[in-house]
Amino acid sequence: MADTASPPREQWGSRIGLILAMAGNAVGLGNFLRFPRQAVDNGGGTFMIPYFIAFLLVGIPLMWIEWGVGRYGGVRGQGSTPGMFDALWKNPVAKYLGVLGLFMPVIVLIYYCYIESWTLAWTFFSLTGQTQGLDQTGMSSFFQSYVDLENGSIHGFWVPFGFFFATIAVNFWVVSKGLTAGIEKLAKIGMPILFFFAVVLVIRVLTLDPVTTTHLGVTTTQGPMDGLRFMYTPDWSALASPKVWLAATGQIFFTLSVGMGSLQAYASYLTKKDDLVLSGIATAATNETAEVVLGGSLAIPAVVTFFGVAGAVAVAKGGSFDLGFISMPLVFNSLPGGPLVAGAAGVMWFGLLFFAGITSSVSMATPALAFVEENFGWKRKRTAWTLAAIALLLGILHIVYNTRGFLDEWDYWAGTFGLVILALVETIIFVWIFGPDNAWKELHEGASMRIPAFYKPIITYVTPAFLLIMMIWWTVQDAIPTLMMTGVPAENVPVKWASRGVMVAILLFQLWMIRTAWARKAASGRDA
Amino acid sequence: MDTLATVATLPPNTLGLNAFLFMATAWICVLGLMLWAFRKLLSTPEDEKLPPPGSIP
Repeated sequence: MADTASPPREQWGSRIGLILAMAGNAVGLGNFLRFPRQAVDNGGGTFMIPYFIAFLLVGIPLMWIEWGVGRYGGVRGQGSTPGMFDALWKNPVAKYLGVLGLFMPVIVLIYYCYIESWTLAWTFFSLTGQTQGLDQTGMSSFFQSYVDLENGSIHGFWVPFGFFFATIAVNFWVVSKGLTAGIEKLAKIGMPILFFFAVVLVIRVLTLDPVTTTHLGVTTTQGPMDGLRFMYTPDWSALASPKVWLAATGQIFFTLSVGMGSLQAYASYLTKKDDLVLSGIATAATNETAEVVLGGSLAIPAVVTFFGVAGAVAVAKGGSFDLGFISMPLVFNSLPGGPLVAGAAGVMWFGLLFFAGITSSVSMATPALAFVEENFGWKRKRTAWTLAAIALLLGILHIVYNTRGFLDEWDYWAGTFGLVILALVETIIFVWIFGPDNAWKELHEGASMRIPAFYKPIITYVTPAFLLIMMIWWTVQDAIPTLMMTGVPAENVPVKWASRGVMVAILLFQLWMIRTAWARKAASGRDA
Repeated sequence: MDTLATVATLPPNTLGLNAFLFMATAWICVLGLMLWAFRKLLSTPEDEKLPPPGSIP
């Protein structure tokens, strides 16, 4: 019934465009900033073993599940998770559970665009030589002045706003052009540039000469190979540490962009003849190549060369942004070749981060756009620019209250904890409620190869078990202290409550939209 | 951390056999998987797309 009642939907223009767009969705800032930080923070080589195991047991199965859920909904005219879950599970609750796949991408999109705007800003600063000649303190002040509006010592008040507005404009201009003329075209241009910049930087970093440095009173000489050795020297005993396993599984989650709702939205534009099995593997493997081969060979070897292994560990403790926006520009300033080389390296580094960011952020806009277009009959441009206006207004709150923890709340509840919940919910609906045999059949529709049989019990039992353990662990370890605001300075508490209030308002508004959409469908006689 | 101690005992700017083997395995696995998947995808003819659902009266 719904199959024939749905209006015609766009389709991907080509298979390579689809894979690049899917890979662009997955390859994001996390590949080049979060991954090296997590790897260093969790013992380098120690981290890589559970990382690869989690990739095989959680990453690839979830990738297939999300492609399957997306296409199943898409061929029934549903481009977002409320409709997809409703199609898979004929229960009134299903569509409301699908709100997670609308809520998370919208929330993450807004603050992600803000962080993406930093990469655009630093590309400009590198091009104009504004970070050249700065030492560690100078680079840190340069960064702090940008992210903290109250610290106007270097950047004007309007500068972060200007770059954020530009980032929002570019993002929504792309999505307003549609699937093939906007998103697919961006992926076809952006992904090769990203890979080119990354390869050039990796070659430069790995051919650096050893450098003698003093850290905490100890003088050492080290080169890029020491960074790689740190990354790839396994410590088998650390495999008994649950912390390392959870960090690795969490990284797989973030890097593949699963549990977000955006992969399902992209997959909804597939047809029954598209090969989910092979396309899912191609996407996951492209992302892993960008992360392991390129992301792992950039920041860590570079920072180890100029700061030593102990220094790199200290940088990692400072967070991903310190690594990307303070340490890496310092590395570029130390490269042989002077200001020209430093500027070029900076443009390539922040340029690749910008392309990694934008190819992900446009995907996050897709579920909400699809939902409004399909359920309320809005045109693409109108929907895109309305969402842009909302993102712009709410993004201002992030700029103003960034140092007061406004962004951290969104990042934790929607960008971290929420991902596991959606992944668990969709796995249960697709594999258990829809049925393992139906799910297996759906995944193989149009496939030129079969998924190895041992993956069926993995998808049915191991992946949900992994997700459940992760959710329980994160609840105990992080969610409860974060909810109770343990250790939060008293002056930030009102800001964090306001941040939660805005999130709850968005969630309630989206639930109301789902209810309205289904009421409209019922009134017009369409199968809800 | 053990890994830090291991790194510190080796001569500067050398990868070491264990690390090299581990890295080579990791790189070959992800690069190989990517190249294999793309080769297989691109070698399969891209059939004419089905008309979108609902477009045929």
